Amino acid sequence: MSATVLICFAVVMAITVGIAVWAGRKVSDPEMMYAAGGRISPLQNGLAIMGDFVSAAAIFGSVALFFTAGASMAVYSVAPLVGLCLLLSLMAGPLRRLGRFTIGDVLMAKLPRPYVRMFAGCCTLVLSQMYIVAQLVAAGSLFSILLAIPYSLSVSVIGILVVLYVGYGGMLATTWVQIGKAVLLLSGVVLMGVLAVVKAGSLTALHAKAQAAFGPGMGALDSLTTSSFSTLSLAASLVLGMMGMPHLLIRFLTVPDGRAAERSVLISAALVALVLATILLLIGPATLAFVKGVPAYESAPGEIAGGANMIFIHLSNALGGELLAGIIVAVAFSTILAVVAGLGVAMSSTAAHDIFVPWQEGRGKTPSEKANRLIFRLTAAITAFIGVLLALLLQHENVAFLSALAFGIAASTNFPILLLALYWRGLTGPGAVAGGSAGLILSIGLLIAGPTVWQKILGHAEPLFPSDYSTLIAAPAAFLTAMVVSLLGRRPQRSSRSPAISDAVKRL
Amino acid sequence: MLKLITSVLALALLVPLLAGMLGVIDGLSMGSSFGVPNTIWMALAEMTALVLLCGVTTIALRSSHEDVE
Repeated sequence: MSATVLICFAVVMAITVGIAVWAGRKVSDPEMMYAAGGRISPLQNGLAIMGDFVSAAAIFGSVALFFTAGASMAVYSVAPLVGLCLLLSLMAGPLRRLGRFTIGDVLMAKLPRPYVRMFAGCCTLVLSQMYIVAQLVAAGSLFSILLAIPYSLSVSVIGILVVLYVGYGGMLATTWVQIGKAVLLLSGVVLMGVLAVVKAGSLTALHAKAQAAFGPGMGALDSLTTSSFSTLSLAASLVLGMMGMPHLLIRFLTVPDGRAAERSVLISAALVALVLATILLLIGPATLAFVKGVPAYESAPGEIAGGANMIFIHLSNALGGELLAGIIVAVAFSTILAVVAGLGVAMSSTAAHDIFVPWQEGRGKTPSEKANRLIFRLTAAITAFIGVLLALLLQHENVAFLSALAFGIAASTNFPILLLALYWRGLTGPGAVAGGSAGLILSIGLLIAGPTVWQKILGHAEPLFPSDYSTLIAAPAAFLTAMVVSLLGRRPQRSSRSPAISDAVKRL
Repeated sequence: MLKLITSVLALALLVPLLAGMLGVIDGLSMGSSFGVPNTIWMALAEMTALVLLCGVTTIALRSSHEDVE
């Protein structure tokens, strides 16, 4: 690994640690720790949401998908924007008005029962931990190759840094790391897109080279999944999962009001579209034009050196030499840190606010601010420790399934409960828990029964369920179960919608 | 009402996406413009439409806030 890459890497690490130390001095109360004091501007929050959504796995994965499947990866570009659009029109405003620190606050406004909050908290912990493991495995593999260090050291360093950011700087540090990463990522992707066109001579020439390298069918849309059900279910996971991922949803609690929350979604949608459109139009074809078939980037004929995730790094080297490659590696590093830190904040605030507080209150005690903060920091450390441990155990597993599982669970648990809580006055506590449980069990169960786990990992001849994506079944089942259980157990003499929720929905 | 209309519009935009993924529009979009496959132009157009829809929704929601407040 060259000195240029190491210097870029060290500079980014120093800046992010500096941000954590600066934020740590400003964190004086739970409001600041969990929600950055609610004083983040819409532009800053838009950048941070974009930073949360566009993870290294998303960038490297999208580029690798274009490299292998051509325009079929368009579903990964369009679906998030549909998700953001629905998030804006249905959830951003009410979430900010009803929530304080976590999505558990939103549920408590509708269903003031501690067990609902604790159930939602447990779902958040499970799916965020899976997403953290997926990010850590991907990051560990990538940086062990890039920096020529052992995988275990790579994963452990990221884990330690995340504990520092989350435990010391809380949401404020995480938000500013996200903002810095988003600006770096945006600049890097746009710069690479421009360089690709310049190197090819024109947009037409770039696509001509790409099509020549890909062969026939680069513009076809049918090569990504094996069936219509899988395609639809994948799109549903991406769209609905986005509206249930806690680390994205709690971003709306860092701005002053509902209007600022809505404006930040608009800004993030524009930024996400810019990044994904540049990948679809310029960077994806550039990988085919300048990386495919180039011996310097292959370990054997037809095999990319370091695996498919390295394609983006190889392209940066092809377009801008070692300096650009160093910058992109540093950007990737900050991206992974920022996303894992965002997940860490979501989990820590959930453990402290949605599980520890109701548990203490159930025992007749009022937890102190100090105890609350201790639980927050302890959760950050435990989360990182479990994440590193699982990442070491799952080093050779397919991380795409941990990510898919996290999005699938979010689409089948948090999303149905939240949407029903906001828009259906008949939802009851048992209905919410039953619906969320049905979604949780089905999404995990069907993934295990699917082709990758049941057939490829467990070695059975045929899968029990024909697709790896179960959201089309699990999410409707969660809605249906929640509604049926609520209707069966409803007490007609009592309205379950609290004044707070009615007011928030009316103000939409 | 504005929220409902924008939500329906968002879902309406989801339909061509899914139809495209299913290959229904695949046959209609063969060929290329300026050397770029038409499928990519279609995806970009849809992404632009979605960002514009987000903008319209934000304005609509702001108006509805002002109506209430």
